[in-house]
Amino acid sequence: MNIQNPKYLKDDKTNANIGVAATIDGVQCSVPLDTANRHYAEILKQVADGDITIAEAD
Amino acid sequence: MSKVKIQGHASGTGVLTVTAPNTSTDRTITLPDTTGTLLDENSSVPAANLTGTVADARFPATLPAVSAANLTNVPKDTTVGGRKNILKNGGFDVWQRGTSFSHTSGKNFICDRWWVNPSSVGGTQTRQSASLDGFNYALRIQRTSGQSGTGLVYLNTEMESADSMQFRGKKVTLSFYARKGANFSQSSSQLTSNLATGTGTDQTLQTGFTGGANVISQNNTLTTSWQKFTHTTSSVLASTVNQIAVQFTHSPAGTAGAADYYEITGVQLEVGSTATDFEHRSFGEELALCQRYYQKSNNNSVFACFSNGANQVQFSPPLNCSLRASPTISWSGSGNSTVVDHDSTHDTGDNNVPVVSNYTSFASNIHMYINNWSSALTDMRIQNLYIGGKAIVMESEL
Repeated sequence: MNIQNPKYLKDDKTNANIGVAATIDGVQCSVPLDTANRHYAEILKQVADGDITIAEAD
Repeated sequence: MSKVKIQGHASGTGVLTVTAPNTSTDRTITLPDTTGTLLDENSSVPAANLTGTVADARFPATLPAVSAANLTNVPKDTTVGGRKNILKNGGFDVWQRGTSFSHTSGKNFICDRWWVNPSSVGGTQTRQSASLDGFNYALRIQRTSGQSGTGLVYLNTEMESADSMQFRGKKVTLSFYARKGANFSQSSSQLTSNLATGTGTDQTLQTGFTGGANVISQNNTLTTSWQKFTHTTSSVLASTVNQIAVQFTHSPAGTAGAADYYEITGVQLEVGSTATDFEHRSFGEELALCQRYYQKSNNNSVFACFSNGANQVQFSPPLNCSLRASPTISWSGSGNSTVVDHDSTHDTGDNNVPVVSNYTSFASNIHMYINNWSSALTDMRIQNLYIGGKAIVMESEL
């Protein structure tokens, strides 16, 4: 899975992270912070492997 | 001239009397030309001598009841009612993502519930008319003409754990129809079919099953004509099985010709040792089953929403059914989004992908944000969100 430019998304009011924006296999996606989601599980794996880092939200 | 001899019994004392019926017609009774004993009304007839057809009139209008205990040789452990096919979209009828793909590497979903990993083999994955009685479509896995990639091409479908555990302690049978193109390059024209089990929870074959094992692994020799292949597990599934997947693999060889492909349809996995006819579900029913893993809205949809701060709207698109898990969101197509409130029209041209902020399993409810509107919205105002030219895609596959 080719994951590019992962960046946290936050709730404007609570300032809490609520997802990860990333381009996955060429498609811009929003990925929920749910380990049952296959994309988020892969993001966590690639972060653990040191392949990617998730940028902080704007 | 042969003769008739009537002989008494040396020990018996009874008198046998041959009587004539009350008739005025002459009759001739011809004795059988064999040694034996004549039948009377209490004699049994050897089954081998029961030949010919019993006239319908000899059967009563209502057959006598038969105790279930006396029904023998009925196949055991076979689902004779509906839902016998464990797999979803085994007939390749549902294609929500499109009907033609050209994936070359990695895990890529094509038709619903099925994904390929072509291992760098340049090719296409397309929907085809099946040209097989009883089936609308087939899936064609093809290496593009002139390509020389020879990696292992995977075709998979995985069941989630919640649907897998019920098959512990039972034999299961895999059946499918397949045929090859004239230039199918796999050695000996073999397509390998596997039934994989695992002990983990909701995993994918792409990264492997915990405790993975192939309980079926068979080579199937394809021809250019449709054939039905069936395979049954040699023993019952282990009590630790927590996940089941069906996998097909082949390795192209040499350089692809114009018809280096195989086609497959009617994939069925069922309990028992007998491959029964493919279970055809209605298209609507099959689509609904697939939408647990993938849904998308229509293009040009309007949703009620409210503004949260100056640059965010929140809304809840309707779901056709509960998704398996909190979904990944993306757009399908392109176009502008517009937020309209009661007294003005706000931003257009926004292409931010919605964000899932909250998801409750089994509640068919999903709560999304769209951030970064360039025009300032009035906080906490009920509005309408128009998404034009594109659809919201929600995916929660394994």
